[in-house]
Amino acid sequence: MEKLVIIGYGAAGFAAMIKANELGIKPILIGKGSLGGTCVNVGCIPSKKLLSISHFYRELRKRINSNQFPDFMAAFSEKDEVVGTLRKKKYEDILNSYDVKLVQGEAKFKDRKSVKVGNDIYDFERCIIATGSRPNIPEIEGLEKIDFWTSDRALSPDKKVESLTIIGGRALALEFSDIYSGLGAEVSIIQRSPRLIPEYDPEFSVMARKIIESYGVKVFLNSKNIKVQKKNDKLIVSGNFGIIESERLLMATGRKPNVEIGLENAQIELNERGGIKTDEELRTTNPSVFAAGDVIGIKMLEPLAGRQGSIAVSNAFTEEKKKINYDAVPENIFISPGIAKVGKTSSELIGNMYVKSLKVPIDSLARGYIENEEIGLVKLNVDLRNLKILGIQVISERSEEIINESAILMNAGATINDLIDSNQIFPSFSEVLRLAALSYYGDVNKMSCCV
Amino acid sequence: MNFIIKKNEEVSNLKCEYCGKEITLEESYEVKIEGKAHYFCCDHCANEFIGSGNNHACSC
Repeated sequence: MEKLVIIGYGAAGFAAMIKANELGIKPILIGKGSLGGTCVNVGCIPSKKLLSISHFYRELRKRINSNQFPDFMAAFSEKDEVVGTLRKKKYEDILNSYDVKLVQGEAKFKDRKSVKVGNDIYDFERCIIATGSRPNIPEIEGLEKIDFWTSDRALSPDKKVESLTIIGGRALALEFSDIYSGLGAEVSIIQRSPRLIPEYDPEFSVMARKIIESYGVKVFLNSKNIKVQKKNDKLIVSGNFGIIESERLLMATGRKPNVEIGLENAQIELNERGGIKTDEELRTTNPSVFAAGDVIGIKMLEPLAGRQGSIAVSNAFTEEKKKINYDAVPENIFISPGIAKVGKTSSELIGNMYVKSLKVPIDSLARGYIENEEIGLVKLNVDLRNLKILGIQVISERSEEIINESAILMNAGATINDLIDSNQIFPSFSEVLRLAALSYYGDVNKMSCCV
Repeated sequence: MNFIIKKNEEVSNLKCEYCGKEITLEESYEVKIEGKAHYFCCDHCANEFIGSGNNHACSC
């Protein structure tokens, strides 16, 4: 019998493998496809490289008033190099440093205590499911008859794309609208909800729209009766917004957990989101099996997947019984300026009478003014009874760094006074958090630079 | 890329159900009470409407 079987070798599976070795356990690591899963191959790494190229040229065009765009296909080649290097460095080479048996193939549960890969059966003491996710495609009339893209294909086009229509209005849609408009394509976004990024507060949705419209992207909200068809090598998308004709169609409509692994044979149940149901310690309805990462279907974020993989192994073999503090899990949309949040939004806190929102525009900040940042905002939600920070939302350059600091504050249960009492670099973007905290006590417009 | 865009169908205009300020659907806070959606210009107005406000004036 194997001590531990891990199904999936993406971020969660790798973190689980590393934790297992720390505990003196040699796991069986089963996976299919490219080593590293979504993040390094078709997720965070390739998209951030392309966003970096897009942002560099957009800044260049602004600064020197030029009309220079990057070479379209060269940008994707550069991305491929980064993906290849990081996959080798962070996954293939790492694997050689650990005591693990790698099995490549498709795993299915045979029963409550074993999995089958081809003709081989692995009995286990404990198992971690870390099978990740894949693009979710909603039903849209005509979609089955056309060759549409998911995010995976949008990261590797075979030729230059002049025009792109994106269906969706969350992180994926915004980031791909940034990438393709930054590479010179005409881009439009069709969103079925009345606003973009509906998981944020509405003022952030409005600003998100302003940001991508500043790239030249056309945005259509509250879209209904969407139909697609192909006509003379063009894709036609129609609906209550009118008719849009483009070369390619990207379905950026979220991701869904990969759960087709014979869960019924192991008596593992699903949750309301179609992911694997777990308790707070990541244990599934089969007590010998744990789940980690996108396959749970709650928040699909690479660093969270890694933490869950590590915690799942720890909880499977020790008495530590660790839990994730989901209020301290940050997320970021890497457009420019970026959009980020951690903890509770005002929308989620409506009905709580002890909440106050502290809002400061980014141009109140010396660094924002220096960098000519016109669009930007930070919002702190605070519990008036003890001044504890309940949630933070940000639109700013370096939003990913600001939200990292915010996540530390959330994890520590910090108050706005803890923030005010801290010493910070001047001038910096992350100072905006302290400025928002200071706005509880006074008007930030009447404060000097260093207060 | 070609567009044939219909007019006046993008978002309908609303009024905040607490302070009366004109808002668009895009910028509104939506609160469902007994299955019915109510729209507000900000979280303060939403809280005041449902009786849990903390007496902060609408900052919009």
